[in-house]
Amino acid sequence: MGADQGHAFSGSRERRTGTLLGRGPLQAASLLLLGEFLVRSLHIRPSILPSPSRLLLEIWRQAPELLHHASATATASLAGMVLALAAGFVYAAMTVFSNRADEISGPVISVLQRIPWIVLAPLLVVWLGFGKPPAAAVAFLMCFFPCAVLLKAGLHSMPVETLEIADSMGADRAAIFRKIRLPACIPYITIALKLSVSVSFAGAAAAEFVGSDAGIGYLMQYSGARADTTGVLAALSLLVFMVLLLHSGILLGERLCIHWPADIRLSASSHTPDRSCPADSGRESTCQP
Amino acid sequence: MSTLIPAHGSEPSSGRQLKITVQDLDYRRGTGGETRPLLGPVSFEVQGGEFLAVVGPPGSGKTVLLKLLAGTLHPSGGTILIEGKEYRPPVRDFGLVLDSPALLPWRTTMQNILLQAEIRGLQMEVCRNRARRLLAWFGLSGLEDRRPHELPPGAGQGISICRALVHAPSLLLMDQPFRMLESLILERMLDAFQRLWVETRSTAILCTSNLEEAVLLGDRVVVLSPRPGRILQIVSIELPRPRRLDRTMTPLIADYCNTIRTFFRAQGVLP
Repeated sequence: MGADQGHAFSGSRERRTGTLLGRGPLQAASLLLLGEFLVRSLHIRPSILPSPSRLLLEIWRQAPELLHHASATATASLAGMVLALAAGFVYAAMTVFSNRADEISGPVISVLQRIPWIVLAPLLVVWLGFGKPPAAAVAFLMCFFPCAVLLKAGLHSMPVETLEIADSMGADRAAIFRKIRLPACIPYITIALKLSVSVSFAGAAAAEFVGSDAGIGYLMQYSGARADTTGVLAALSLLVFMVLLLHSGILLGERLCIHWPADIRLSASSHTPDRSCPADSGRESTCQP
Repeated sequence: MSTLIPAHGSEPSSGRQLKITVQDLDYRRGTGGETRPLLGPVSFEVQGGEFLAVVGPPGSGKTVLLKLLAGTLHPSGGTILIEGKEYRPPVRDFGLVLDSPALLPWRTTMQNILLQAEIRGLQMEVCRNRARRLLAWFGLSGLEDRRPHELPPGAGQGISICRALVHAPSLLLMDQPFRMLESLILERMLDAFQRLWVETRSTAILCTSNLEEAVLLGDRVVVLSPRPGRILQIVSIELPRPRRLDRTMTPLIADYCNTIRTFFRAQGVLP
């Protein structure tokens, strides 16, 4: 498992070196060996920090139970994440088709975005009951706002000239959306996915701390209460492993469908320039007669 | 090569040459009491099949004029008549070239050019053949399957011109299309473009700040004043085509450039 983890971790390096596996597995293995060496040579008690070998053994022994909890967390966080992406996309598309909706919702979104939604977990458990629904809801709330902002930036990420050219071809809003905005948004979708994966798993686990009888969060809480350090770390490792696995899956997808150097620009409010304001004003106004 | 343009029955060509009349056109920015005039009022006429070049110092509203004609800006006053009828923006039988190629980075050269055909709903095969011939005309054959980031320098602008011509528009609008090109690439491009235009003779309007380019391409050159741009003079260029920067033609072109410079000197644009 350590090697697999290393593989997932090496995602960003892969892109640069262009090899499929990269040096990830080697690095992960050496890290594990270093950990093993340190824990043993410093005589750290397992109740404080178990050695990597002890941890791997624990994961192996508890595998069926761990997998059960992992699947509960994965279901909740993926559900929340997918819903957040879909809702974020609907919001972003709405800002393209209606300037008015954009003007009204913009400030609201930017305020709501700043709420630390994770602290709402106890309340959501009260509202939505025990188990997966509150976990999915926390994941959704934590993912939605970054996704909305990112996808909106993506749908608005082309230079004015591109839109003017499309205009000269007689393209209507729907055609511009299909042919220009949507493809331009793809790199932003992959960023939103990468961000959502880690955020949604964290959110779901936090909700499980509060009220659940299954899931990685529940397991960590339960083991922690019994001072079972190895159990906590085993659950945590599985959470990290799932996030890294999904992350590397996204990187793979990214490499398969983005063939151009994507120029990512993030700005909180990227509106399409107003039609009544000449796009060249900046250039022309610098030279007064 | 001369088979490039004459429209066969199936070719997506209207073959028309639009006559454009601009009357008292002006454009000011801002609303209410505080408006800043950027252009005009200007009045001029472009005959069907004429090449009109517009030169002016930065801030003279060349780009504004072109955007008004392209319908991306709405005039504050005055009218634009196309073939005698008032122009309402969704009249879009034109090709547009801007100073940046504005190619879509995820599309190959051919796909970028064919965007024009896709959006207009033209026959793809006909347009693909036309696009190939246009690319060959500009010496860009072999770049069909490259994406913009894989193109040699200067090629993007040629592709952008091909995209503007692939549907054989009856009006060509160009906003400083050669501004970013290196001078040798520029010279080659101007030559290819002029020979192509001689074949099509579509009505064309070119904005530029390069006098030589304006004289080389234009049947007439409109000279704009500094902001707000008004017409100082319209100079007819009586030189045979194709015009080239060769030994006999260069001095004649320089003469015209100097004539235009005198108007700019009178305005203090040039020393």
